[in-house]
Amino acid sequence: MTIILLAVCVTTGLFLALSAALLVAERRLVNYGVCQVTVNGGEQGFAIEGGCNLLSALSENNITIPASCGGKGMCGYCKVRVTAGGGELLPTELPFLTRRDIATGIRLACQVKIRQDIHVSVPDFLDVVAEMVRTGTFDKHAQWRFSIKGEEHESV
Amino acid sequence: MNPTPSLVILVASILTNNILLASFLGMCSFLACSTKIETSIGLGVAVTFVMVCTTGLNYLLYHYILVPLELEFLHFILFIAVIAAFVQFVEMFVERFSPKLYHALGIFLPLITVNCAILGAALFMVMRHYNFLQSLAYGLGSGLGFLLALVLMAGLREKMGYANVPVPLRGTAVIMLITGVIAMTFMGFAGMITMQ
Repeated sequence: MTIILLAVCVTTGLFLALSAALLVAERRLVNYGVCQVTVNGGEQGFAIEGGCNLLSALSENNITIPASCGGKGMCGYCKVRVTAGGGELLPTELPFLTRRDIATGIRLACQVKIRQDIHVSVPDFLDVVAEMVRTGTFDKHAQWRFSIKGEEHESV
Repeated sequence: MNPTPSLVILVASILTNNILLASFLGMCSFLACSTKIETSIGLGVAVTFVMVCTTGLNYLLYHYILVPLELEFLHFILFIAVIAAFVQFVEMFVERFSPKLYHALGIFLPLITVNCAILGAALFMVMRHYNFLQSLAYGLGSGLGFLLALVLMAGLREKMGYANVPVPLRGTAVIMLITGVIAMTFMGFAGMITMQ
């Protein structure tokens, strides 16, 4: 009987200790501090807690990037130019980027993790739409409704 | 205690008692990651590092917690927990301090958690009554042996791209055959060192 109790205690204790160590490590290591995001060469900018991805950071600060997959790295629409502090290109981005894109620093915003101060230039949304229409890569079934007064838009 | 010197254990676990070729442990990642020499070196180095550290940690756990409490029968499940937690920790550490290394090794780290060679090394260490230094030597040797077998296989598979393999053997079948042949050639080292 005592051996069973002891076994349960040791197992639980070890699991708790390992979980606690991992939690502490996560606090210490996955904490990047506050990072400065500079958009379009200082035109806009904001500070954000590091560790999240660029796409969500931008959309939280009202800079909308089209991303129909919602940041899963599947649609390839959230292309932005990262001029500094983006880290290395990931294998998940390669299928969506041409050689010219790679040479000029285009990244998928949903795959860039903010680890340090970062400089990005974001295309004008209308330019993106014009480009999609020109190359025929838009989703024909999606309809967009824009309100004239505000910046809000919604998909129907 | 096992009387074999650590250096002998180190060499023996690379050549004569290679964990992959003699015990056939860690076959899944061996088959999956031996297509290119570059990736195989990445996985091999990551496995070596994790193996050395986890055999050390598991030695301490076994001899300073489980043996005094007479709970040796728990070692299977606790070794797995230690290995999984350690790999998680290494992943966080590498991602924070060396994004370049994370870029190279990152994709292999989740593979290592479930690599049976690592658990195998920890269990052999207990079974063969190694002391701490011998355990570390065994972990290092097994990791290097895994690296050696993986790189050998990757080299052969890169060449095999040009070979005309009979249709029924294409894919995994011919890889298994080649692994068997490599294992047999490694038996040629057996007279060199004997290890308990």
